[in-house]
Amino acid sequence: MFRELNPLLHSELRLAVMSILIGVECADFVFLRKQTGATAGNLSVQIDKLQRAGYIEVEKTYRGKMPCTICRMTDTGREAFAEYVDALKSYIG
Amino acid sequence: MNEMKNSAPSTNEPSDERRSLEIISQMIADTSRKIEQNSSLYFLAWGYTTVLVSIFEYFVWVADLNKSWLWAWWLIPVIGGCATLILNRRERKVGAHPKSYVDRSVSAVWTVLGLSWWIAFVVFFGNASAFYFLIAYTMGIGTTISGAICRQRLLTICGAMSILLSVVFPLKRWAMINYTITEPAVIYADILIFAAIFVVMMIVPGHIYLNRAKKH
Repeated sequence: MFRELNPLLHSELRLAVMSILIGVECADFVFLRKQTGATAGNLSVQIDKLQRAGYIEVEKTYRGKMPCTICRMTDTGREAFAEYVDALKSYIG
Repeated sequence: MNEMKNSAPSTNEPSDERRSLEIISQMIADTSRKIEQNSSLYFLAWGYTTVLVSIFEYFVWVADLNKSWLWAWWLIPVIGGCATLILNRRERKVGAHPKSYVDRSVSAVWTVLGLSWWIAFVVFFGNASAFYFLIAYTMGIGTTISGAICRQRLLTICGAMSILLSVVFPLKRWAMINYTITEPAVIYADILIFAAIFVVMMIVPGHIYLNRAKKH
């Protein structure tokens, strides 16, 4: 029996962002952009969607004079990610 | 990773199931590799500084140079500290280093060890051999713990080897007490043993991790 995959995570870029954040305490926007290879605009939109779903927290701060956006996964995000991986197993296994 | 960048995660398209798993494993692996690459630079900076300064100090003793050169030991914390600050700043600038739980644990281990060395420095002031042993031994412990936390077998092995190698200091001390040794090259060999331990503990794993990260 196949389980339904969370549509919010079943998008390549959003899934990539969540996969990075699951392994770290927090990561900044520049790092996420480099790791995913996404454009700044696209990444920004996807981060916003994840934030609105409560999966990640976004903190806008300054590093010296440069603006800096730091993302970290919430407990809700961690649960959603775990459920997504579990559901994936039902397709692959 | 390049292949990955060119093809997919940057799209908003729904992914198929296998592709999803591929993205998850690839992103997790790339992130840990990035962390590995950054850590290796700290290892190399501290490792090379310690080894080069130690070799210099060995020649100061063997060649019986002016003992004011012994102040050069302080170059280790000065150069190592500056290198750490530069690497930290560089990482912050390019956003290259995500903050991980592992980082925090490893950083706590080294902070505690670093503080304990200042106490050891005061306690063992004037007893260089004991100080070399203590530094090499505790650094070996720190490296082994770091390797265990990061699940890096190489680092754990190098740390454990350093702990074992540090036993050479009391053995040499025992030999010095029981045999008449007057050769300065042997008397001051503690410093070279100290340098060799740092090669095993920091330079070897540093280069291996850096090369591994570059290959990917």
